[in-house]
Amino acid sequence: MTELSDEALLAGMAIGDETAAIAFVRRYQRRVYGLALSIVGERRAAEDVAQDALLRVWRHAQVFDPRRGAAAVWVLAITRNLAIDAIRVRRPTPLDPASFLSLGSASDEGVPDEAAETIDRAPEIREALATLPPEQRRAVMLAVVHGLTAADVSERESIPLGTAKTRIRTGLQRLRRALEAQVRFP
Amino acid sequence: MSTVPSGCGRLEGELVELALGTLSGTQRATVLAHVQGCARCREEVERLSSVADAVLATAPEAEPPPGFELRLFERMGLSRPRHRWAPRRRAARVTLALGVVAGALGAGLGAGLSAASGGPAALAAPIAADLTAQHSIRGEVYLAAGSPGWLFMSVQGVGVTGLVTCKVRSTDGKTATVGNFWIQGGAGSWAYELPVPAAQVRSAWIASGGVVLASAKLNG
Ligand SMILES: [Zn+2]
Repeated sequence: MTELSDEALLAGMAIGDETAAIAFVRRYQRRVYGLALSIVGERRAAEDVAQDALLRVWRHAQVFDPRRGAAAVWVLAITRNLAIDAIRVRRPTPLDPASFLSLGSASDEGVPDEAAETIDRAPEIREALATLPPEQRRAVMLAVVHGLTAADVSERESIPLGTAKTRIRTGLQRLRRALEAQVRFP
Repeated sequence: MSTVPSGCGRLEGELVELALGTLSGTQRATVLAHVQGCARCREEVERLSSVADAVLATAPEAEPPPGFELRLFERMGLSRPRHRWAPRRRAARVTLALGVVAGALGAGLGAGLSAASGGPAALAAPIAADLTAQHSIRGEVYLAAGSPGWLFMSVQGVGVTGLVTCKVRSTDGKTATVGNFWIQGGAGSWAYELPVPAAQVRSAWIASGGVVLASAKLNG
């Protein structure tokens, strides 16, 4: 039998299935921890965020609605939001997003096969990100990954608010066009 | 619906921030009010959200620190180590079956039953049968009478990992789903409420993707 999809594992978790929970954690812990680490920038705090995120997934698996998007999106959004909360408490300025922008494969060991399907657009997005002007790319990453408002981006980059807004918007629109050229959005 | 106070063009930047979740409370309320009444802007926000989700999915992976999993599983309340079902004499297994039912009752799943019957000790003797596939034994099924009745099933050697569906057919020929269960490495065990009276169950089986993996004849 083929590997279970993320969605099937979440369905198992929703009925309290521990085996499904273990499989899900093992599939996602490296991605969740990696995202947490790239936002909070410190191992101890990243572990707390990653644990809280996976705990939340386990406790709220029954509210996950596959019609509203992929499991990976849901899990990573939970992680991002917890990580942003953590840095808001801990320090005013987030880590430099450069680590996130390294466009190669993030880990030496690569992506486990069973997770490959859910992130199969990551290479396309990385490619599209690489084509953006650096200042647009930075603005997009600060807003999307680090949760900075346009005002935060303007302050951090020492640019006018209007410029910050334009960079974020233009960057996202370019990414969208690049992706739409590759895969049509549903 | 009343006409929107602001034009769509003036909201472009705010739509981006709405999609990214970085708007403050009051701004958010204003923009949401527009978006709820404007299909064009709603679509724009959805598309921007999709892009943001895709960007987030490019996050690098990193190896969590040692002990991460154990600490997490503990917080999740997962039992460990997971013991496998070990075949024993039938009498012992019937006891275990009732033990699992009692455990489920203790967890509050069958409050009606425990109140009505004075607890699991008052359950009638279970109905038992081997679960077979291609004439080989693959586990057992027990039915415990009560209101509701309970089904206990243990499976091994069915050669799948994944969610399977357990169904029963009753004397009137109707089929009912008992539940969806997880099988790891071809093995698993569960206890669930029966959707029909235990005495009326003629057969029980598990299936995955429409393929019957193993079945049992009961009350026959
Ligand atoms: Zn509009």
